[in-house]
Amino acid sequence: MSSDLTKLRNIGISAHIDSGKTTLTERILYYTQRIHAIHDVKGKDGVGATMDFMELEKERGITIQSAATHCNWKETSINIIDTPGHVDFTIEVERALRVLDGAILVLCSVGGVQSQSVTVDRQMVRYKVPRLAFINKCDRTGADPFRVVRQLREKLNHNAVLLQIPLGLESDHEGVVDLITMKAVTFEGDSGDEIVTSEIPSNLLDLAKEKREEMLDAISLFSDDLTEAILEGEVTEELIHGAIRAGTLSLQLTPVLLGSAYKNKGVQLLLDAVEAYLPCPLDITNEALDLDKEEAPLTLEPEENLPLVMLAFKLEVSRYGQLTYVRLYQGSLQKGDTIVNMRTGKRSKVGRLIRMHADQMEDIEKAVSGDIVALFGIDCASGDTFTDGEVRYAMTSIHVPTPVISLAIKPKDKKAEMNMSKALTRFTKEDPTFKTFLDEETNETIICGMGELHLDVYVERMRREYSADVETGMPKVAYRETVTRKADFNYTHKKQTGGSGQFGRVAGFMEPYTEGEYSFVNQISGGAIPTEFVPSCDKGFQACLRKGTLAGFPIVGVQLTINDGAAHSVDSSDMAFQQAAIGAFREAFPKAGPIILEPVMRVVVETPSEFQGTVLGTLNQRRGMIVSTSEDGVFSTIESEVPLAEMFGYSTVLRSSTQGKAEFTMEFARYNAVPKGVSEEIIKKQKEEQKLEKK
Amino acid sequence: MEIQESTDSVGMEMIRDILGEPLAPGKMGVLMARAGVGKTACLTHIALERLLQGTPVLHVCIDEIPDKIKVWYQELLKNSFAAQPGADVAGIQYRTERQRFILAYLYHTFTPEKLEQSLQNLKEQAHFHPELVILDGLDFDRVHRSTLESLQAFAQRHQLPMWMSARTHRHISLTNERGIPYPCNESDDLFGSILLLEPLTETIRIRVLKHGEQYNPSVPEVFLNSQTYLLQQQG
Repeated sequence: MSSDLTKLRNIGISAHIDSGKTTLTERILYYTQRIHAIHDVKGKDGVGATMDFMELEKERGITIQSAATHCNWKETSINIIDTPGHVDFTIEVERALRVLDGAILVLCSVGGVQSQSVTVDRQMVRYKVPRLAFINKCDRTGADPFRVVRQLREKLNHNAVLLQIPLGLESDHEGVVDLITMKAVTFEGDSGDEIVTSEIPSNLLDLAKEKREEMLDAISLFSDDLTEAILEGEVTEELIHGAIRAGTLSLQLTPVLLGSAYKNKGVQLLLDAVEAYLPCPLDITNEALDLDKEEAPLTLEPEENLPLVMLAFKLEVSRYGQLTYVRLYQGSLQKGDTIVNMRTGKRSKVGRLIRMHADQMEDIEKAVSGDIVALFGIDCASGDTFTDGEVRYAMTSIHVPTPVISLAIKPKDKKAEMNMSKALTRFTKEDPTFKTFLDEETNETIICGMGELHLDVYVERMRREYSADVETGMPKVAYRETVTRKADFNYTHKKQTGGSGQFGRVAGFMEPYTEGEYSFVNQISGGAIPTEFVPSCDKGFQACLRKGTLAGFPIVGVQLTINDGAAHSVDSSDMAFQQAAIGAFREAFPKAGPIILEPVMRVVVETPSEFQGTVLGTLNQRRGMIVSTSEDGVFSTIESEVPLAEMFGYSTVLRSSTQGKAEFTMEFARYNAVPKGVSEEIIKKQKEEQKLEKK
Repeated sequence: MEIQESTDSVGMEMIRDILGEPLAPGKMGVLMARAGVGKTACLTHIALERLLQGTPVLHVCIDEIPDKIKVWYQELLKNSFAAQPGADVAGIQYRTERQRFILAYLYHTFTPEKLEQSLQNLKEQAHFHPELVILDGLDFDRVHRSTLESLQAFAQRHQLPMWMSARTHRHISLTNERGIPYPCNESDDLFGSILLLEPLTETIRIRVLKHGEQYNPSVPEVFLNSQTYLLQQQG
């Protein structure tokens, strides 16, 4: 590859499920000559698209795991991360976005901007990723790219500007009219390799002129030179490209291209646009935290001769061992170099340096700042930062949501038990939103994640990739307990049973705390509790947080303040004060108005308008709070907040009540108090379960 | 109601000052102003005042996405309680959101019939029974009198007070003999209240052009702070 950073693009392809991003990636790899034949997702030839390399993905026709791949288009090197489309896997999307400089937002010309595109786009805004939009599937019945552009403007608030208009739609879709060159472009040959430019057909000329005017009007805001040239009637293609690039990089413009990846239309022009408008690593400012200066932020420079800083953003298990995908932000990396994991301090030697092409790999000698490559045999977790040891920097931590759902799993036999453990170790390293632990009381392995489908996929992967057959229990919602008002405590722990006794008195109050899960405040004055026993009180309180007395769920959002107490010169000890604190906690908690909290999800349903009432009904039955609905003439988008506990099996209900025409996305919104009636039921159920477990 | 006791703000007092009791059920009110003066802010303010009293509000926005309206509510709420550092704004926001429903019609798809259908869905399926309707973004330049009459019938049928916004234009100085400017000059009989927002140097003056049967009633002047969009008595 070229070491000229201006000729490097790290891009993601991000979109709604089924909008054809895998097919698009496949075509990109074909036109950039990384692959020599075209296969389709769910292809009849049984080969499957190159990027969907996991078996499960092939079967479902969706992309679950991102795979990085590298290709060259003309003079430019492009690293592509194929990002997953389902919202249950957004951590993967988010991680991919963290390391990307730009992205292509793929939209379906029929479905347009759907709820998933909104979620993905919000994430891109969060990570300030400049993007191009590609309106795919222009060959489909009902294709209306102009409607999609309007939706981009109105639903996603993009300053979306068409750079092309379609040359025919639906079955007549042949190519595009390029509004920059003002030429018709068609894609001939079996695989659309041959690009033919011709004059714009007369029936499209007026529309093309009108849309070019609109385009010039919109992009001229980003270039004074272009504005001048427009006034003087001397607009050049170079000026147009410059203005579009400036607008795109400033995140104030989204250039829109069209085509049909499946029918091999428009992909090469999209690649030209990636090269022309999306940023190179030099255009992006990346920050790290200096661990030697209390995590003070600093800007990394994409210079080869500066100390190495790179982020491990993805781990995968391959036939040859663990593969770690890294993005270099500063410095360079060569085979044989020693790198240091900033989290663990562990040093490792880079044995093999790989450039990935889906599941094929190419050994390379050196990677430079800005590049995305993979390493073998490095022990780390996703999100770890590596340096060459000269500096102690960490890349800013990526936003990791807390799991909201858990499931008990049990291996079916001894062999499955071994394999399950291997699989779980791997998955938790790969995906920070996936957690696992052993429930000491029930002796069950529990897995936790972001939704039903999220956990389903891992259970299936255990079966397929690790031959670990497991039985699953009912999914459990991660309830919490908290307090609603202030309550005092004054507890004395006293034991005198021969030998040295135990004595400790702890007084103070418990109150709700909104800034975090737990806080401990020491207001002891005059040594009522000796300093050495203050941490014991904290420890005692923390021990109580693990299990609330209401229904046995973990306690959050509570602050404990100690302001008085008493000690005995002989009988007081660390243990005595821990016990006193536990007693104090138990004394105050029931008086502090304890309640149960439950995770509430933001559920967005998109449905044909005729089912609006029905869908509202399904959400309302689930204790949902409906926040808003938007109608765009065809579809209604209903936004609501629904307790997770009520969402099990919702996809089936939604499908059957809307003839399969509606779909929904779900993400964690907040923890809310459970209504009283429901709370009593939960407590009752929990107590019954605990009884059963004891038996 | 818990919210009412703690949060009946000065703004509400001022609205009462100029309009007496709020708009009666079944009546329509309109807020007129040029583009960008603060119609949406003022309508949201009216809605918020009612929400704080525990009144369910249906906020209909035309050709605007719900997220933008939500931001208005959040900002106004934040500004309203800026002077009360101890106020549980997040809690109040949560409680007002439970009483509020935003209905958006994009791409010129709004019709009174669709509104009727949506309200029916909300009442039957979501058990949401609004006591005030805000209708923001109706294009008075294009809307026929018949549409406004249908909306009036809707308000009367459901016995709902309904506040709307209408955009005036700098270049159209048409005003009827009762002093009501374009675009409400031919439909002022349909409205129970007509307010005009006039931008001054630092603030926005709210002029009452009609209230009840009275045109140009003499009422105390009220201003809208052009930074915070909160009501104030000084200009």
